[in-house]
Amino acid sequence: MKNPSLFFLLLLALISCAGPQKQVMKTSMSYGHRLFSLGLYDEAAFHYRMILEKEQLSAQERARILNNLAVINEMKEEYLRARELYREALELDSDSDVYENYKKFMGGL
Amino acid sequence: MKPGLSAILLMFAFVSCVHMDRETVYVKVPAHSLFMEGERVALIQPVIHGLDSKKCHDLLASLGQGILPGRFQKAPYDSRTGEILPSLSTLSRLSRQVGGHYALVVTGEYSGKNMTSGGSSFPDYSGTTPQRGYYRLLSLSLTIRLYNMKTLTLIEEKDYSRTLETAPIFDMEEAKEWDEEAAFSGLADAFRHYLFYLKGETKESPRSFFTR
Repeated sequence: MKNPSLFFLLLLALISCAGPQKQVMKTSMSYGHRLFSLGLYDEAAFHYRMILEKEQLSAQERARILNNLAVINEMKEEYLRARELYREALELDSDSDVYENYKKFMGGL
Repeated sequence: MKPGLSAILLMFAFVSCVHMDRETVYVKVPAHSLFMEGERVALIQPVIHGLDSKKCHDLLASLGQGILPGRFQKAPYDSRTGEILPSLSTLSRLSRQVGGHYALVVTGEYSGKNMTSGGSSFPDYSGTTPQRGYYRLLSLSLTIRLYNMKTLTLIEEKDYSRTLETAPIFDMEEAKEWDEEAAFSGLADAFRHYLFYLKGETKESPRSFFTR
């Protein structure tokens, strides 16, 4: 490779994707996703709420969980709550996917 | 392996690592944007000439809460004020009281009359004979209006009519009860029909869901 520094930078970034400090959070998120995939929406929502209450989270992580909770609320046809959660998520972090979800939720009004 | 290729592979691995933390899931959402907004609908106490207004209100509210849970709120309306239909200012006041952004107003009337028929066309009710040939016919006509309470405008107006054969009559007192019963049944049927129309079909919509 002509530019070894670029190679090492990418390698470092790749390794940081699975950094140990985020492992606990990832496991919790994966478990919530697993519950969601099984159609256990109430259980998944409960799990996400527990993460929000118990764990020290960055704004981005908190926004992601709020986004997932909003999707679950949509599944349960609880649209008012879903709207609140999307808005809360967007206030914390303007992730483009969360914003897209919110736009679709609002039905392209 | 060429160094350029390994860099591309590494870059690809990195990009996929970033995007593997989310997946697309599909949620079923109402096709009607009114309900996507999560707005509340105030159900104004209906005025069906000849029917107990409070009973009608209870009946329609129970249907609404079954079909559109959490969106329906009963709003009182006293037709003794002289208004045939609630005025916009009345609607606005009621809507503010119950927090509705839309208001549904149901008005209508019903009438029953005695009918006679030949043996061949007489409905086959249990215990009747073709010779008797008397039955009661109920006609119910309803108008359901949907108002936008933010703009104070009428969004739409739908007319429904129902004709129901009740039962053979033997005396007028009994016939009145049948009429009323049939009118409530027709009202419920028409209103349920309207709510399903309003709720509309569902559609699937993609959402990003974070997995890690």
